[in-house]
Amino acid sequence: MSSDKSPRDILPWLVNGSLDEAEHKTVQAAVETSPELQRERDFLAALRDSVKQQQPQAPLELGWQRLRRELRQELRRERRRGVSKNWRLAAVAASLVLIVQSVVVWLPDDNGVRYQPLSSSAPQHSLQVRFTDSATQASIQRLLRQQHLRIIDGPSAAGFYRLVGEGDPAKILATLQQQPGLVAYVQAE
Amino acid sequence: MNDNEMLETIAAGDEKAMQRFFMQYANDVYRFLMGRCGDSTLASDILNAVMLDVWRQADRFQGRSKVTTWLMGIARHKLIDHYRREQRHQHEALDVTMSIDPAPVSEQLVAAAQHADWVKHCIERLGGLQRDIVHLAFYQDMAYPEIAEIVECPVGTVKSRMFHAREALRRCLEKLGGEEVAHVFR
Repeated sequence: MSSDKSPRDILPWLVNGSLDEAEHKTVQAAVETSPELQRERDFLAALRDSVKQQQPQAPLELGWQRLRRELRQELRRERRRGVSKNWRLAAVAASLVLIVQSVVVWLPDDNGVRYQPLSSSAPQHSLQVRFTDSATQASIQRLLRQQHLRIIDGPSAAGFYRLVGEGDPAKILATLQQQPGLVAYVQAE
Repeated sequence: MNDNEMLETIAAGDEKAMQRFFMQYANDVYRFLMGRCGDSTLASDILNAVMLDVWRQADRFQGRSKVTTWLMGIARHKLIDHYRREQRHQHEALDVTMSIDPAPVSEQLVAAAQHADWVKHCIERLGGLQRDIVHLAFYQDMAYPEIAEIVECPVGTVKSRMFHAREALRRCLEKLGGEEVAHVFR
């Protein structure tokens, strides 16, 4: 590779004008003294202009009508359930109290006697997982089947799924952590 | 009203604020999706899903990144999830570990890069991540740290993928330019 590899690496961002002042000065200085970098910059600038010419327009009005219909349906569903946005926080707080209570009930007492909530059949453990971008649905399904896990929520905006399972949580966590091609992130909840 | 105020108002359930937000950002999201999938129906569906997420999760935006960075991240995850359901595998055009010495750029290559149709054709042949990076850098004019946040890669990976993308574009455009010259003299 040539000695001016570093300025070349960030040349696309000189062209789009997003470099900070120090980087801009460094790269600009390198370009001014190198005809090779000047041609590279011209090539990238032509590429950028061509990309910018491709301006598909979102169907704004139709898109908004569709979204508004769905927002209103969602609001109606929430009202039917008696849930408003302001009540969500209260619901979350109440859920947290329940979770804390469940944990307290689950803790072994001094006599080693364990108590279980009457409504529960088997202990379930919850995990937060993000799969790799290249993970296929088939490979995810296979992993979930092998570990007896179920997806109960997701993907979130950040691509996270919530899984529950009934096996040994430490074992499941370790197994998922050993799947770098499939699992990008995993944490017990 | 700035972005944070708009999102706070949306979180409180204000439909008018959501409409303003949609009108302001729908084109950015739609173009990103079109650049990646080239399918207007799919791009519209995912745009709708992204905006529904904004409505439901506006209170989770913490203002640590730009709104566009947050939106593009959501859009990218939705698209990946769609492809996962469709069982479509995405192959990168070039291995990131490949070491390539950049070839010198000729005047013919600069001229070829001015053909928007050729550039579109060649970008469509890039791998998914390379295509995202080219689009975010050249269409959205984003800085490389912002791009790294959206595609969830280290900045070094963004730079190396961009490097490989432009080498792949160079080869593709040279091929198209050569075919045109051959056609003229045929």
